[in-house]
Amino acid sequence: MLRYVIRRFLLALLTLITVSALAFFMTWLSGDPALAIAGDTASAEDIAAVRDHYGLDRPIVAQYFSWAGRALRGDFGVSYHFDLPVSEMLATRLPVTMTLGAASILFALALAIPLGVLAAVYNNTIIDRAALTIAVLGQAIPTFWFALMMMILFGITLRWLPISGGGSWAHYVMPTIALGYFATPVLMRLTRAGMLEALESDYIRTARAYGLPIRSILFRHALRNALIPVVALAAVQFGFMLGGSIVIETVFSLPGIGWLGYDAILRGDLPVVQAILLVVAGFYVILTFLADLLNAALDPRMRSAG
Amino acid sequence: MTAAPLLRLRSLHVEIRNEAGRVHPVRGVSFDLHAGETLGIAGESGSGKSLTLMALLGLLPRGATLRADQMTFDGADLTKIGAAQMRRLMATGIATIFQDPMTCLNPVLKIGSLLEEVYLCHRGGTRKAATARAVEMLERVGIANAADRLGQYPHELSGGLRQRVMIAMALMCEPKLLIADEPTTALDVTVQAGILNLLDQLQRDLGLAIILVSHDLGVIGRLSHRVAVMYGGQIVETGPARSVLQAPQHPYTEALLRCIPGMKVNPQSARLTPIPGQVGVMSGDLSGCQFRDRCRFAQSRCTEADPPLTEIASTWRSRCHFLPDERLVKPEETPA
Amino acid sequence: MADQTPAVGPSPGRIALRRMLAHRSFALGVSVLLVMTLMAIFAPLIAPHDPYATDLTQRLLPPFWHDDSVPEHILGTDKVGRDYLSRLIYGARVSLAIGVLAVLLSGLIGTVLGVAAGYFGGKVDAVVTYLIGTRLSLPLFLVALAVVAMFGSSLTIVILVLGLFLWDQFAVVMRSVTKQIRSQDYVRAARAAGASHMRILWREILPNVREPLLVVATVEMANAIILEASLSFLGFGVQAPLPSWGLMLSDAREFMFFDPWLLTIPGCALFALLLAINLTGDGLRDVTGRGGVLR
Repeated sequence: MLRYVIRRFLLALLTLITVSALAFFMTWLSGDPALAIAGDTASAEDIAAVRDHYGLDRPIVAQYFSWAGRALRGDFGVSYHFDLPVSEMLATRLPVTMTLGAASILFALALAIPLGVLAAVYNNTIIDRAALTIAVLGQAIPTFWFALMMMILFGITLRWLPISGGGSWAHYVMPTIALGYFATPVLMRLTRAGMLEALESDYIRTARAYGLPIRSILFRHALRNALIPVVALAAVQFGFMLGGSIVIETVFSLPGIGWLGYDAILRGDLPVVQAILLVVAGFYVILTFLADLLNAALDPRMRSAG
Repeated sequence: MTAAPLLRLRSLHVEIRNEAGRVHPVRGVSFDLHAGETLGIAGESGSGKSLTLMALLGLLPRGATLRADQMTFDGADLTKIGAAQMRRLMATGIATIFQDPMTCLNPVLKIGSLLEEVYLCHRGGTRKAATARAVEMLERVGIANAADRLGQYPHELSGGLRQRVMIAMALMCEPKLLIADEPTTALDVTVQAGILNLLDQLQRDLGLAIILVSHDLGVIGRLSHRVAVMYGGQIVETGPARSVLQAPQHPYTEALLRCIPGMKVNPQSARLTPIPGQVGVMSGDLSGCQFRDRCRFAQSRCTEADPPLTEIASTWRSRCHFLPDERLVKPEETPA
Repeated sequence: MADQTPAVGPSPGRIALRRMLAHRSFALGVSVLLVMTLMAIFAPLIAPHDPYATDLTQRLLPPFWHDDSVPEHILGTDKVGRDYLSRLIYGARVSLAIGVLAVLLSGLIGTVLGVAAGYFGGKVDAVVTYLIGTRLSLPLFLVALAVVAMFGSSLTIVILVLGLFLWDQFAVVMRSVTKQIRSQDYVRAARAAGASHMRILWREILPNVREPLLVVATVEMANAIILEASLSFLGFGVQAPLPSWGLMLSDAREFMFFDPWLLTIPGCALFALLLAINLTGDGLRDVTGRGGVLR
């Protein structure tokens, strides 16, 4: 188990280093950063001054290490556009995206687990087919279009919910549904598959041969086994949501890092883009690492395995 | 044997319908089992022995249906009682131990919680009483440090210990009948003997009735009072264990015995001989003797007529057209 | 073997075909997909108007279910008076072209990586696992936006970006399928008989990964089409006058209060296409009984 954790940790670390390098060198792909900082109207002296000030004349590898070192301490430099420390901007925006991501994944699980269980228990019946239909529809509806349709219905026609901004919990309802519904199908399919497998298993046959009540067979014996991979996938999906909330945040003008990232890309504000890329990738790497550990922790068989 | 039998089965049929069509894997199985008696059911996989048990337990797979002239356990008609009553009968009346204790014990639940749940569900009472009962039963099946085992997960135990846990679970609610479905097949040979001794001892001490199912007549010979050999969904030979194992009347019983090292079979010496061919799929036209394609003695009559279950002695019957001394080995298949 | 013995039952291909036709949602998916593909190919023949022709006197005409609709523009017109139906028909070209080309590219990358990892194992497997992990940790949409922002938005760039990014599932699935096949007896036998790696890969592995490959391809094609629409919606996709459903949705957004049909129509087209692709994929999975490794 310890060997597994260490190997898994090293892989996560290597991935993070690679992503940080990619994020850093993206700056160089997009042209001379000194030019970008100084602006279109800058003179040659201005540009030279900027280059000197930001250390842009040093070897690029040295620049990467000093940048990565600062990033590790939470210093992502200063936004070109807003002239604010990027870390401060992230600190105000990140909670919004985290809230949205967490709410969405909970919404998705609340929908996916009962549907998956129902579909498995009533395998090959109309209930199963209905659940699968919901899954197929969920995969086919583009998130942003679903969001716009909800805006028209609940925001404009019925006037139940606010259609933009992030001031209150009501602002999160539609974004949560839009983002969560998209993650529901995979989670539901996995729950269903896990339940089907569990219900066919020998240990469920044992539970039935000992006359245990159906409630206990379904939830205590089968679901516990079926949910192990679902929990791990949910963690991974949460990681995807942090990076995938750009469209939703933009559509609903929800001030999270997704909208910030979109803005920053529009303005060519590279330090902000880099920082978001790094933070989202970092979250994803940590979440998948934790998901693997969680998987191991939930499954007693893996806990003591090598 | 004048008292009413604990379990009576008359003409049990199981049919399975699936995409491929209709299969008829159990065809008219009948037997009686008295309290304190051990019945060994032998046969290869596909002979219908496992499905017979599952039918008894009400655990037939989806798409399978059963019909029986009579299926009574301890006075209750198993074909008539509802699901709730059947559940009540499980563990308290009939308890089952399965072949592979690794896959049959829920991997994410602790031993203690598995055992206690069975007790609490049928007997009620406090958790403490259930725990005490679990410790008692684990000790009863010869597990040392029983209290410590309660906190362990199935995978943390060896195969033999897991099977003992399974037996302890079966004893939790004092059943009258223990069904052991290939209880030693998944275990090492050295561990097998221990489990068989345990079953033997439990039966003597508790007066359990046992149905022991195995493909291994050696295992069955160790414990059983009576044996029933199944082939093609039917009992092909049944009788007192000692008689059947010493002088098998049906060619299939004889062939099964030849597969066991160290078993003395009348016609030939202790040479191990595999049975040629394999068990057929039980569908389509099922007339005639099912074993004929693999039988050394098969004649044209074996294809034309169903062999009846003929009486050899008072409780000994065999389903073959020919007595052992009437048989002729097919000439083209005589070994050189 | 099959050539010598007379066929007892229908051939495996026949059985598969019969099961496909019996699978109603699969048949529906394939039919819709076929209609959309024909629509895209023969767009110039079908479209009633030039999708680029603007007519400022005929702006924002409503579709046929409104009372004041015009018969010559069944689905109405957009903000510069272009025929909505014609743009919708031409838009299928963009979506399908992006879906097919991006999947061809990513399928090639992912299959090569996955098959190599599954077949050779060891270090190759470790490197591919690392590449997959790194790719997955990059927030796809953010990176795509950034890349398009850097290199400019065009159909080619969008196809390249999506093609270079959507290979992860191909690699994951091909890796596990190849691993399974590799441990089969007939592959071991071929190796023992001295067959070269190339020969085994070509003759034994590739024919067996076809079905899971197709299933992943449908999933990723739907994915690519959604991503293109999203990118175009945010203004980072294909170039403006080109009729793309994502762009149409983007243009429609400012009119969502008063003319919601501008939003509904291309959205429904997108939804129908994605649904058809997903149904086809699910059907393939069911019919071939393969691709179970997929989530």
